[in-house]
Amino acid sequence: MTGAFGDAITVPASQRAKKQMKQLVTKGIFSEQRDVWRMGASLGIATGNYVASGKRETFQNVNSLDPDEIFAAVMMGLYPQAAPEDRLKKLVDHAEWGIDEIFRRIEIGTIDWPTLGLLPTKSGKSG
Amino acid sequence: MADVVKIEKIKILNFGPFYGEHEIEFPGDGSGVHIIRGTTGQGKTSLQRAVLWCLYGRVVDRKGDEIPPTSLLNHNARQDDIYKFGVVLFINHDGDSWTISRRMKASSHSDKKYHSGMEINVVRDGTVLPDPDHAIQRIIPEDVSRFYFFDGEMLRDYEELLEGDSHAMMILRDSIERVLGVPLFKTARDDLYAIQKKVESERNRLIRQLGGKDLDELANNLQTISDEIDARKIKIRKMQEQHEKLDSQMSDLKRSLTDIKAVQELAQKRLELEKEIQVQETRRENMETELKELLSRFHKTILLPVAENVVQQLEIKHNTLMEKYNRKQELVGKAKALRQGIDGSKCTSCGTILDPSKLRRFESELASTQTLIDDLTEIPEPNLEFEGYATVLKRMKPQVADREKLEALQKRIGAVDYEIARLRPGLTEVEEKLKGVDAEEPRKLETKIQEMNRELGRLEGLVRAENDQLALDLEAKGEFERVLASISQDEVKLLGKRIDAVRSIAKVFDDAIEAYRTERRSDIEKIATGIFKKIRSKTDFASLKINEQFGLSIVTQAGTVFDRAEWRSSGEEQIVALSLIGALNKCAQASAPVFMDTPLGRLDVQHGERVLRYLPSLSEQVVLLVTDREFRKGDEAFLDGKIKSDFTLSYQSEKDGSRIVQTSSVGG
Repeated sequence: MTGAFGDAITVPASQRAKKQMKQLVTKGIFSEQRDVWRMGASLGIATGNYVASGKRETFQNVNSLDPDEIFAAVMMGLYPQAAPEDRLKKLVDHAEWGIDEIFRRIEIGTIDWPTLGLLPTKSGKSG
Repeated sequence: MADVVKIEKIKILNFGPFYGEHEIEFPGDGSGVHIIRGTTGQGKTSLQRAVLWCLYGRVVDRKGDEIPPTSLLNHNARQDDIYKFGVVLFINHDGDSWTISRRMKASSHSDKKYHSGMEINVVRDGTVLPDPDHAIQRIIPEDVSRFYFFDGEMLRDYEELLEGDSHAMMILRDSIERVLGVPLFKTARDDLYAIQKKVESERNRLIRQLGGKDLDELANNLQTISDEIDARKIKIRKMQEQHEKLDSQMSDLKRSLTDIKAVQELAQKRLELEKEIQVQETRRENMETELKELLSRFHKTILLPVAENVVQQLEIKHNTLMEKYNRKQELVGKAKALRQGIDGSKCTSCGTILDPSKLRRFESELASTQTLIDDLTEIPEPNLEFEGYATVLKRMKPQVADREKLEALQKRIGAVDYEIARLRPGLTEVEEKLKGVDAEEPRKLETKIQEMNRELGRLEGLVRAENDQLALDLEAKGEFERVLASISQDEVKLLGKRIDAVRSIAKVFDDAIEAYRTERRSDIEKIATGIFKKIRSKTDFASLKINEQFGLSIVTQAGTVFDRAEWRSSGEEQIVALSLIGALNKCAQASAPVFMDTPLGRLDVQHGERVLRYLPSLSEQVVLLVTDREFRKGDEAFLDGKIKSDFTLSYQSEKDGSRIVQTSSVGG
């Protein structure tokens, strides 16, 4: 496979998302930041929400975050015509929204893992 | 009952939480039930103390220690340099109006200055009584005030009556006997013994006057032996007092030891609670690990519906591409065969020689095949990427975390959290109780108790020896008296007869005291049982049984006698104590108002209702100082319409202290 994300080696994340992931690990809810990232990305993809704008910086390797290429496969399926770099950006946009949403729900105590991602969660924060 | 005392009005100045002048007026002549409400710290106990202080000039705290005047003065009065406080009681005693006014004022805030500035004034129907304290003691003796003005929290004291022969028990028993009028008989008996002694001295003096060595010696011997008997009796009484004191101290130590042992039980409970919490926390940690593991895979669960859709898309794309690719391959083969046929003018599949027309048809077919191939030139070499991604997503399906499993795990975590939250307050409470406990204390106390036991044994031995000697002395005295009886002198004989008569009467009084005690004990047992049956909730409890010290035990239907060791319930202790107090009030020589502070504090709702129903019959005037927790909305109904007034003590602020607000009044 040539790769859904082309030659990209690392996945970026915003400072806010990185801080939120770190806090969720510190609180003992997740074992690793990459687990938060994957959960956030899934939630963003499943609900169709994303945050397109904002400054991002290096977070982790593509291979660490998506070792079994699940995200690559899904993104390829969802955006077959997109250029690899656009596909990766779209994934990061979904992850940014998802991480923020998980953090927010945990903060206000309304997180319910078993039903997470089941209902479409549309926020105004997209585009 | 002849003497009936009722309080009509109370005036308070700068006492406890009450700053300035405050007044409580009970309607009519004060008869009936009066409710004074107040939450903790509003001044209920202070109000009761104010009444007691007015009557007796002193009050004690719950430990029995006297409260100094500096602590009775209102805090704000002190801040304003006002060093005076006082209480006035307006009392109705058998139709006479009494005003008892006690005030304390001092030039500075010191106990000594207050004591020297105490003023007491008692006026009966407009006449100032010369000995006010004595007059008060005559209508409500201080010794018996504990049965009229009592604290629900202190009802435990009555358990002392079941506790062997402790000092506290003896004080309490004497108070009960005082209520019942036993001391009147005792005083008469003691007076008779004094008369006997006086006549004996007179007889000795007379014998000496008769002259003669033998009689003089006899009189001397009799006087000596009488003096020795008196001295021995004093010695025995002193040793008994020492014994009582020591015994009382030992009771206190034993109580402390019991308390400490209770603390040791608490320490054990703490260990158990800590262990249980530890177990729950370990379970929670394991569940958290399990949850984290599930959450690390949960992104696949969330992605699954998307992935299933994507797989379909990828497969369609893959199949479409493969179809095109296969078609091109087929066309390329065909073009190759046509080109070979044209080049060799011979069909490559059947070997037929191609004539010009067939050759042209081959060339035409090659051209159209080439066009089709050209149309398919954008199809790359076989690309398995879509197939590969579809396979990845298909493989993902069995790896997803089960939502139901996650839900079950969350429920289990919730249950453990609940259990931990349930256990923690218990642990905090136990830890609070265990603060500052000396682990060596029980051993030290046990050593002290052993030493005291030895000392008690020694004293008991001495008392026994003195009593043996006393018996011998009395025998010797009897011998001398028999010799004296043989003296023919009329006056001596007459004195001897008087001594015998006084002794006989004293014996009658001794017997009467015992008979009266027995009779009163029986009355109290009967009346207390009647009250107990009204307020008990367990029908298994048939009656109460009284002991020599007026202590009451519960007797079950099966005849088992429960004393304090088996009660266990503080509510049951309170009910038995209330039964005793009720019986004492019925049997008392005088009737006084009953002030009850926090009377229902240790009772459950059911017992509380029963006690409330009984209270109006406890005395002609009953004042209940209650919290909103023990006397709830609607409880008024249980008092059978006997409520004559209702007050609320309300703490205003640090500056203004507490106020008394009358919320309702009936009659008057």
